[in-house]
Amino acid sequence: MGKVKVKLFAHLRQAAGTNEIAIEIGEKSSIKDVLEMTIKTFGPDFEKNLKDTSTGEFAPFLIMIGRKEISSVKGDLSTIVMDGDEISLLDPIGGGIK
Amino acid sequence: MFEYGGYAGKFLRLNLTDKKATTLPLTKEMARMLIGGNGFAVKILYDELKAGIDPLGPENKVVFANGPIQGTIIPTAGRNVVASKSPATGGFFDSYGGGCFGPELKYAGYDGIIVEGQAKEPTYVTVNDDDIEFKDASHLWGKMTFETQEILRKEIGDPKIQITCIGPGGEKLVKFAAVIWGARAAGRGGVGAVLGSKKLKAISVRGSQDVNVPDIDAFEKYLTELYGKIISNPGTGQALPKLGTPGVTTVQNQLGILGTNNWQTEVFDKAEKISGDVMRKNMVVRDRGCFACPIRCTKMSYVRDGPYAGTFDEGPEYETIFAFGSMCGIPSLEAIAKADLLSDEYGIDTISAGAVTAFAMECYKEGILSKDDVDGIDMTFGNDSALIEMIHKIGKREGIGDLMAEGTDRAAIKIGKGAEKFSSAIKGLEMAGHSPRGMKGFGIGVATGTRGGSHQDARPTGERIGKSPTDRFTTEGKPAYAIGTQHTTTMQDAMCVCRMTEGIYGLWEISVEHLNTINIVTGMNLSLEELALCAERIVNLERAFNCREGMNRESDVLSIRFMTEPIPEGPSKGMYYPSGELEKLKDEYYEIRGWDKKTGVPTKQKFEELGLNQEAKDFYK
Repeated sequence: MGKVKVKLFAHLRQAAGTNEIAIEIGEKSSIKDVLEMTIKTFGPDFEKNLKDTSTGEFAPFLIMIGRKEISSVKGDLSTIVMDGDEISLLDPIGGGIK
Repeated sequence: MFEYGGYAGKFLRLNLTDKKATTLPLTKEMARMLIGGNGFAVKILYDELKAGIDPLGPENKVVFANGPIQGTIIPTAGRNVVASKSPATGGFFDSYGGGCFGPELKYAGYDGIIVEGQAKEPTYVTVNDDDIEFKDASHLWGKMTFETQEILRKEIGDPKIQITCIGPGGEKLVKFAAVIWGARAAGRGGVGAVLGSKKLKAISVRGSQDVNVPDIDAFEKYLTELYGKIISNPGTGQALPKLGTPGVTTVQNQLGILGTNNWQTEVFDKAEKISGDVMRKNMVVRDRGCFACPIRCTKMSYVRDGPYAGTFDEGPEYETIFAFGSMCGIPSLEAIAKADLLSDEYGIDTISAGAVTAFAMECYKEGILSKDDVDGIDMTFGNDSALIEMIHKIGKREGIGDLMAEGTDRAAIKIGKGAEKFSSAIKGLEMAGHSPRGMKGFGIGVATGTRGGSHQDARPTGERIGKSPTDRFTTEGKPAYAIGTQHTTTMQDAMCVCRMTEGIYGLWEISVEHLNTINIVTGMNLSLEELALCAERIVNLERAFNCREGMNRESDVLSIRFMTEPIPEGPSKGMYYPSGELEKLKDEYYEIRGWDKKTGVPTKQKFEELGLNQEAKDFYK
């Protein structure tokens, strides 16, 4: 048992109403577990910011465990998290205009 | 009526020298081979310009062009291209803006406008379907862009008219002058300066014609599906509507790829102060969308207090936040909004304006530019009043602004003393807010791209959201990936749809979504292979234009800092693009492209494969 700190970026902050949250983890919790627990904490309005509402699949975005980058769409979600990990949920925004 | 749906079937040609308007028919072959937008523009400019002409001389031309979807309600169909031989890069340059100008031009019955010649006196042109008038613009010369539009709207007496214009920046031939309509900008590459050299202040457009599609029921069904995909996608349905592009600022910083203090580093310790969520909370008063766009990513900002109180700005966008914020070390969204508004009013590109200011700040810091050289301004990184002063000086070409109006590469040559190593320009264009050294696929794509320091030829998105085949640190397979991104951006630019839909259309492959949109609007019934060839054909035609101007393998490099200085800190610490690595990837890139490895020119075989036999004769006798 332990805790990880989940840091939110961009519109995820607006959707959650906070910049970060502590999530309790089990012995072999994965990144996917952390994502689902974060969604459970903030509810369905938060979920549609990470998952496509028509398919229920995660949108592509990067997750950082410390400085290690993990993709939400490449089967890396089974990565096991450790007590004290700092997890950053980045954001599926496109680029810029002009 | 033109054989295919979506198209008007002709271009309007405005000759400013003799004040004559004529038309050029769109051919069926041109539509099938080049789709629209950049495809039409590069074909016209390649055929009609001679190599080596002065970009600011009467021989150069400017092409405004639509794709087939403009005027329909396909999502993000509000864009159009403004293209020319660029005074910044010396090559082909296509710059895009949203809003409503493109659709109105289609309703007036045109797929585009070709502007040529040079007027003796300031001129504006009114286009009302087939009724074209050349008018004296002496009373508008020197006016800011918003005032120009306001005066013309009253003068013409039609509040719904669409107006494109230049500001003092374009008139004074700032090398990164923009073309403005509403508050949208075709910002990059100095296309505004080309209009300024022709003394064309503005074009107003009003149309009353229909845009036809072959099967309206099929169109409506597809439209519903496409809207559904946009709304259900977290990027286009949530992130962009909520924060717009500024949402990406802290994401870039968290990854250590946010250009800061003229790219000396890529971590900005005050990034949280210029984040999209702070902007939303403190400044945004409403959301706004371009024509036919359900995303509505534009944020209207109002500064309530402080030295910039009263500033009401459309934006700023992420690129502008990067350029005026982290690049200049300025942690004030209020100052950034003011600089953005001023840039739009002067009609200058915010990305290059921020980059030249940051360049001047580093030269000042290193003692290469003295306080006297910069007109007594304290050009210390982080000084927002210096930024505002610099925008005024560039827009008016006054004092240090006259030098900086040339862009960083030209300014560095004039300054000497090693200033060139502080220039972020690639092929003469200052790098936009995405790191070529922090994303390997993006880097090789930028080096080989048509426009140089742009984020619109190659794309950073796939690597930044973890969707690219390999991560951003890896070089393996990246030439093929970069080519894929270049083809998708090219197709989006031929269709003239917004980059914000790239996650829907596909990040590095021509997709069924591109195909469906084009076929349903036009009825051309292209195959996916034919459509992919269209994208490749346009890229190669752009390359041929640039090679004819003298660009070659040696031109395909990044700026000195990106190739010699590793990122000094943060999650991307140590990343850079050493010359040896870049050259190796270029070999692979040219091999896949079918470009000559020595010269960088498309091979004769490649030209012929793409049906560019006439163009091949310019290189192979």
